[in-house]
Amino acid sequence: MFNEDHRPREFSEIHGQKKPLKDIIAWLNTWPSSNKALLIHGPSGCGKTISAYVLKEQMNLDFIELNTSDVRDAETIERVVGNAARSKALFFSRKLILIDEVDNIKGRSDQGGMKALGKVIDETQNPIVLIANDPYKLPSSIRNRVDTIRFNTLRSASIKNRLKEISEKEGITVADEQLEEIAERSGGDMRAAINDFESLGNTVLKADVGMLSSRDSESSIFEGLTSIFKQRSTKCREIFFDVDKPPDEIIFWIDENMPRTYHPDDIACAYNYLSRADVFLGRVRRRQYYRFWAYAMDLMTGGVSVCHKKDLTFSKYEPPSYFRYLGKTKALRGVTNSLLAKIGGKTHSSIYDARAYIPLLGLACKDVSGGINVLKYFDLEYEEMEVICPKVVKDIFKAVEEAEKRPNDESETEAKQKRRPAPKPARGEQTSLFQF
Amino acid sequence: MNFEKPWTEKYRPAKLDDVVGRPFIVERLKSYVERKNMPHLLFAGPAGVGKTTCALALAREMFGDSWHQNFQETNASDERGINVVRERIKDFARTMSIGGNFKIIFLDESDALTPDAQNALRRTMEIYTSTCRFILSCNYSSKIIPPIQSRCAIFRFGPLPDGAIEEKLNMIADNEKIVIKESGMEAIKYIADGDMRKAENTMQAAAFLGKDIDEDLVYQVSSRARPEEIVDMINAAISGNFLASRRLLDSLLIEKGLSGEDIITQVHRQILELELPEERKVDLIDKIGEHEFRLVEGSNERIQLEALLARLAKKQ
Repeated sequence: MFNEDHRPREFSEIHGQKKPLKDIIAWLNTWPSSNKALLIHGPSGCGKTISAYVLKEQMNLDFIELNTSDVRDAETIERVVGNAARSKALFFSRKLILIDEVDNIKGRSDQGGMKALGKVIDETQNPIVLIANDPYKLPSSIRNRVDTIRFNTLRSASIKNRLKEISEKEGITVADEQLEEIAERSGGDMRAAINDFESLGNTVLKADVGMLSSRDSESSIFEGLTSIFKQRSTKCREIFFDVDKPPDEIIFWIDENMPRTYHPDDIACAYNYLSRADVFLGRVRRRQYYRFWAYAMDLMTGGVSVCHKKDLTFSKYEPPSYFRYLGKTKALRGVTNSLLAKIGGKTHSSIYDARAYIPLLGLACKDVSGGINVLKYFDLEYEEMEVICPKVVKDIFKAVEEAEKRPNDESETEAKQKRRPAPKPARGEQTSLFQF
Repeated sequence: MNFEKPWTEKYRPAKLDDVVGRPFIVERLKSYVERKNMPHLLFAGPAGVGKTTCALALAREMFGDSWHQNFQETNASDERGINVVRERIKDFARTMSIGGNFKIIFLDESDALTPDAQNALRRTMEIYTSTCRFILSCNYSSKIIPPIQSRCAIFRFGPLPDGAIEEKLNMIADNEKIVIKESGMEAIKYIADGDMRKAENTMQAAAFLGKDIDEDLVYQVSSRARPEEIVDMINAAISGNFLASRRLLDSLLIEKGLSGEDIITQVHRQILELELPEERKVDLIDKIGEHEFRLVEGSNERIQLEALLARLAKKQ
């Protein structure tokens, strides 16, 4: 993993975040002047956690860390962090308490975690650094107890420079334009860019090797694709005899790259054969009759191959995007499913039928009080509400929070009683981080 | 109009007598209540026609106040696999019924179980017959294996008659103090197509948009329920941009979580409304049908839907 092998060890290796890094060091050096914890926030892959690690190494800090892989309920936070926080570090070493992904302290397994964290922040003798993607997801009890430093989305130039450094260390020769493209596509996410680079770096290498030496007994999927796209013949099936992938994976490689390569007039013809091939794959699966694989393979290779009437220009092959997309949206789909399960539970409907309620609930959330009722009735979490009404979810939660602040108003506090009511009086003139 | 709870829940009949549009079914179910005994039941019919409602009302009347302890709702397609279902059934069946001779297990969407899983279920049914009655609900009774069918009294729930939907909606409208105009009622009945859940959801959603519910409000609501991406996807395909339409397809399949069959049904409906030569429409409908057939036969629905999009994208 490039991300592991090339983890920055020095400040100079963290690109594009000079200002926030300086701020962090300054904050640490003046601590405890502010009496608060530090919240570092910003989008994924912009260097928040990495910066903390480099800080640790460069400033020789003692490190207590808690991230999402740990249970973070009240007890654990009190035990691990609380003890560390209250004991002053010995000698000259300094202690730093790092809590990664604070916005993910939630759910049953982390019960009471936020409350315990608020208490630890008040009592700590050592600096505490919190890391989060979205500060709005934190309860006000935490937001009132932190100074914040924001990491901005990385510019693609910064990402490109870092990729360049890595490529030089790995001895991979890549054109600048290619690095630029990877950087551009990552949307400012360094981790994603490095991952993409790693997978692409290998395939570029592999394809090159494949072209140079046909001594390899195993053909790459790239050779197979090239054979389909370069000739109009059933012969290309033979290359696939040596491709070490099952037909139901090969079909996705062809499916990904054929429409990128073929002339629009030829795509329908090719898809007709892919679809016929898929029918045979379905028959294999249902009957466990593997002979049908032969027809599936012939149709998806030879069938697709004879369909291109116009000459093809070369294009770069891509791995099947469908699976990447599935991976990327896993979290979102998890949220949607838990939302549907909650709706289904209340309405006696299956997850499938529960979908029918989402447009209705979206309208119900048009005004904040309706939104609060939806929240209460289905007992939803922030992310689940976000699926129903992405535009007003913040207002709804703000309203719930404010209702909790009013001590005698019991009508609306039930929804989120777990959350801390009434934060301590503010120290400065600013009563909340978000009051400008 | 403020949201309190879904009207489907607020107005779900508590008693069998309150169930509209199902006189014969209700009569048979009431005879079970009188005898305090019942066979296993199989409820077959499309969504929103009263299968769950009848099961819940039956349990309430059979067991009175303790119905909650004696009734378990399980969803075959939501739970992962037959083993989870069996474990839940086992746990539930182990304890004695309170205030009755048996307990009722309601297994929704039982046609989502594979034939193997249904065979396992059949064994489970046999083991617990002395203490439990099963109510299986399904969309298509033909997907239930014959041995299970033969052990059940079969109840067929057709789409609800328009009269029943109208009766119920009028009752709700009175109670909620909203006015439903005749054109609005007709539109809801048309959209609901015998599905009470859809009818009530549509009316409640429309009530958020205005107090007097007319045709316009109803169609405004129902167009919200139809994912706009479907239209965008078809338009992208027809204008020849296959890759763009494929991206929209992926978002429908993955993010919106629609099934391939949902999407193909919507495409079918949408094609009829497009501005295309009538000959082309007929040809496309033939292709849609063919690809739905292949989708049922095939292995991956995405490939079949892509093939269909490629058809739409192809110039004649």
